[in-house]
Amino acid sequence: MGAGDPYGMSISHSLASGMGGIRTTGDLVARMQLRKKMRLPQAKQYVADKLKVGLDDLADSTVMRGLRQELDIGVITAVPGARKGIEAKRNIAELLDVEVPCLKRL
Amino acid sequence: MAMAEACKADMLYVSRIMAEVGSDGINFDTTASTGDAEFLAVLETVEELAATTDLAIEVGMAAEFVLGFHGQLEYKGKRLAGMWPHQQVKVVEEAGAHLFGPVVNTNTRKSVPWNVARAVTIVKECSRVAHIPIHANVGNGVGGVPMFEVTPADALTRASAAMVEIGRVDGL
Repeated sequence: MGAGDPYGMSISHSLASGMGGIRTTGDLVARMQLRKKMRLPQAKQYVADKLKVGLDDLADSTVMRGLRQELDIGVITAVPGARKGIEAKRNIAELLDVEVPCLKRL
Repeated sequence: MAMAEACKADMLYVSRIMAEVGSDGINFDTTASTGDAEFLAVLETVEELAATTDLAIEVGMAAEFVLGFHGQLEYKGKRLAGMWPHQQVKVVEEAGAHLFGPVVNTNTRKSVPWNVARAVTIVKECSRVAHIPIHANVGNGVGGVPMFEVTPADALTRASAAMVEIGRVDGL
């Protein structure tokens, strides 16, 4: 699926097989695939270990909403005082122990 | 082959600027749409970028089968023409890419179940032999999805779930 695909396709995919992105831990798991070439089970286990949660919690938006707020790694809505954008990325980089290229350009 | 060299120079030019501004990565989409020479240009570009930048690199294909407009071109001793996804992923891995996007084109003369079954079968083998994450293309007219402007959600979601649960992909 890409930018050239029909509008609405991403929503169907998200509901059928998505992890939930920043609502849960989809962004963190994807980052481990991108930076460390981890396959899905390995990436999920890595993120679960770093967050000190079970694998089932990774796609639970209620659990992750609270935990993401606590760790200050960005949530789906604007929360006063909470990190967002590149500030949240810095916390994610520290939490997952990975490099985020744009942080090195600051 | 002069066009492949020009293609490689263009890809390197754009990718280096993306790396310079701090991009997380780059995706070479519809790779090998013009055949084996273009595939070779992408592989050589990936090799150079993986060695010299911190970009995460995805190679997404254009079709399940690499067309051999030249026919004899090789990458590290492997002929590119005629490669299927489970063979494509091995040369992409060798080049240093982080993600691979296999493609299986939808046959519009056949049913959705026929196309989903074919796509999942081919991608499953690719996923089995891969050492890097597999992000299958499940967009319009690929991965079992019908070729239609407004994709039917029932068909799309079946292809999506089957690709993950049976095809064992790491993403879409």
